[in-house]
Amino acid sequence: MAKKKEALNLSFLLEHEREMILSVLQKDEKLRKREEKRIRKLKNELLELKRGSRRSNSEQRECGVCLRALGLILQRGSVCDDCKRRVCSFCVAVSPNSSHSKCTVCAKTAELKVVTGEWFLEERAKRFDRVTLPSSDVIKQSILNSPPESAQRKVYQSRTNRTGTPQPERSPTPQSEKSVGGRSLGKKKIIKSLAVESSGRPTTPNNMRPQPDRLSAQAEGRKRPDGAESVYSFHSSDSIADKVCGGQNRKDSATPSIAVSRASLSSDRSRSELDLSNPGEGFANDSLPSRCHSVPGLNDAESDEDIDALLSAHYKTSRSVGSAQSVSSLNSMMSVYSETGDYGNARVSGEILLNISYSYKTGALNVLVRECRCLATGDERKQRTDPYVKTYLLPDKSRQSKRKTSIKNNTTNPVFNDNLRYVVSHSQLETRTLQVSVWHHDRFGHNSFLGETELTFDSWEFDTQIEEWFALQPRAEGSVDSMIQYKGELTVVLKYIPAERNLSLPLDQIQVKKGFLKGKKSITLPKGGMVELLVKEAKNLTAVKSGSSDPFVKGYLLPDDKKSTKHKTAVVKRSVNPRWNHTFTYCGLQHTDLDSVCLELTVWDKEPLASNVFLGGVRLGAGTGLSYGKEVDWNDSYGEEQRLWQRMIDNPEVPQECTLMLRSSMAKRKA
Amino acid sequence: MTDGDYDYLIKLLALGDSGVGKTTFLYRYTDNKFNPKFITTVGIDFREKRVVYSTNSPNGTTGKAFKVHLQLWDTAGQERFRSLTTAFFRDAMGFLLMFDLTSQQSFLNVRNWMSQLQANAYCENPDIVLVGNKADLADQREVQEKQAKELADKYGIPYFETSAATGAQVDKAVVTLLDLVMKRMEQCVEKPTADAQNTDAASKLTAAPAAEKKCAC
Repeated sequence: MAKKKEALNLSFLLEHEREMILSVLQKDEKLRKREEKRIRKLKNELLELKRGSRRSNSEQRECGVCLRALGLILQRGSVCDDCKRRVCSFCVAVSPNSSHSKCTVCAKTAELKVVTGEWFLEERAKRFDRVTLPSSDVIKQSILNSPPESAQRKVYQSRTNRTGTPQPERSPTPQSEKSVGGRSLGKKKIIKSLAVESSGRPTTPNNMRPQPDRLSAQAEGRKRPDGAESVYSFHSSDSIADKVCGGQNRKDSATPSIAVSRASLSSDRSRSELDLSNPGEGFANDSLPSRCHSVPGLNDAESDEDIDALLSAHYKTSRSVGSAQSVSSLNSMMSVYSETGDYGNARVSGEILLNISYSYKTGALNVLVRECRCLATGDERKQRTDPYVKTYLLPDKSRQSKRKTSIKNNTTNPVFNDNLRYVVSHSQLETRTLQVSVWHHDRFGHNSFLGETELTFDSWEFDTQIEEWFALQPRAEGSVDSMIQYKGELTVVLKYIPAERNLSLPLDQIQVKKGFLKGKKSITLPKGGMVELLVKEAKNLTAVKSGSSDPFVKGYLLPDDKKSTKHKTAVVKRSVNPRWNHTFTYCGLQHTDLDSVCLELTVWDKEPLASNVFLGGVRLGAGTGLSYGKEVDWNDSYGEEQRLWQRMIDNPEVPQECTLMLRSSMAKRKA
Repeated sequence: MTDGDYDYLIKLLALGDSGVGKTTFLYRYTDNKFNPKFITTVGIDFREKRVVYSTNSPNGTTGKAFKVHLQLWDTAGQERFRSLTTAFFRDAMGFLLMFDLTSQQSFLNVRNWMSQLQANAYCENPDIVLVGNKADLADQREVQEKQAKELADKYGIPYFETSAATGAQVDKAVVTLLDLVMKRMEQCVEKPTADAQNTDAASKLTAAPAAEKKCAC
């Protein structure tokens, strides 16, 4: 929603301007990604530090950080200004002004706030509490949403720019809007009178350096001799700019009839997926076609809130220090959990004893939840706490990664001794984070959150066993990269056979290429070209049950999401590296259709008795965001997906093989 | 430049009328080169530079050195891009407000830019450095140093006369701004502590400068 409010009307931009700006924004996105990565690393360090420290108050005669015993007179330690814990002399951070003493944990937290730039976000939040997106994203969104001007206007615009006359519809000086606050107050009058004076004059004339130069530079267009970086990135083949202008060019083409895959088999639509959308969420967008029921991610909070979640991750470092936190970030994190829970009310206290081991032999991570002590009260009114423990192996926040212990009745010191088991390769594990949260089970209302702790495995010796008390923390870190988690890869071969060639091919030759499993397809060949897709194999799929899955691939040729274009491969039993070698054929595709259709492939784990589990997907298409002139959200192919499609178009009849990263969600990519 | 091996990412933004030399100024700063051609910036652009920033500890000695990655946003001065460029104001931590010493008009517009900043930046009184560019073109000068200095004093911001052509004062202006931003950053983090315990006599000393500091927090 916020996105819409912030959107600007940028339709005045010319096409090449849009391209240039988008390429700059892309460069910025790269920089921000790198920054996010850096911040994540820093936060892990803090987590590491916090993990060691305990919750205790200043009355206790032990160091709040390292638990060293403190004396009454000697070795008294000092109280940290921030968390009020008494800490020993080893755990006091040396601060430049000696009047402050801070424990190492608080010092690190404060340092993080500075180096991550969170101070800035906090400051800004005081002023613009509605700001959730970086301006780059706002602009990008705005540009992608507003159509460029018609050619006529273009001419007019560029001419006026050249001659330097002011735009009639705009005032030539920066609008002195309501001047806000402090310094400006006294000068309001001056500003006003100035604005009047200057608005009578054209913007540019006398503040230019040599005028002729300027003209020639204009003529030169975007060839910038100063070697700005943006020039280089502009040429990169996957720039969104290309995508956009491509889309614009095609927009005007007449809408051909949707002629897709008449030769295809119908089969029952698997009931698989429905349960993946959270029941409480509701469908955010009613205009989405029914297809969204079948593809996870479209409905869940991710699509709307992913940016939120990304951003709120910035805010989260210091939650435990008690700084003002945005409520929205809390809400957006709720989507991680399958049941709605109450994070706000329960105070967090106590700790949890975990025994963690990894077996190379079985490839199993065993999380033995032993007990908790001094938990907060779950239901204050009834003075009752029925705790249970839940874990996720982040970044996987899906059902497959959820484990729960039993529920213990009415105790704040529950003893579980429940083993939660994950089958995961050790190389995978290194990239994962174990999130352990404690909940109060409320039979009738919302479960309430009692605290959590997170463990990373990147520095863990896998053959050692951990048995340790971990302090429970308030709702903390959202995993920043949840959107870009690795779900494995899919290898496909794409080929386009144009209409001319298609007709000249002997019939049986085409027949052979259709899936042998479903070979009995219609022989009446429709006119038009043909797209052949060989679904070769996949690698490193997520294991759903005991180290493997039963994967199959399902394909739709969008915009047609009905059975007519649906194809499925056979199920390969017990494998995370399945080889299907199955061909999907889609006929009746004119060359002009290729920009408006999209081949959506999703990988599923077949569950005989339950719903199938989504393992990842790709969308192969031109990524124009358009389909026969209409804006659609599914034509969002990017990077390799988009390049593969283009290669296929550019090289008719030449098979194009490509290995693609599986998307973890088929939700709209954040633009 | 592409690695994440730095301690701070600081985002600065240059603004001012079209043709005052924002792009060339930044080009001089990042690449130490001068491009006399005028190529109007399309909407928005940025440059990057890695610098080392060292703090001065209270006792006067040079403190720790940090690696700072600067992201220098360059905005189009042209009016028609205004809605786009102002949208970027709120993401910047500090501002280089530039005018052309050979153009009285660009100087007069500084006040307008200033109110734009006050309305759109992350806080009402962000860190700004006023920069009069093209100081090398002495014979075409229209704005006197005194005039500009007075304006800068009124706003309480530093003023520099620079030349992207010769490179004079360019580094100085950026470094000064960086310094202001880094100081504010420290204040923003230090302050909550000072608030929490103003009963303490020692903390009063730290609270006093906090009251007059620019941070609106």
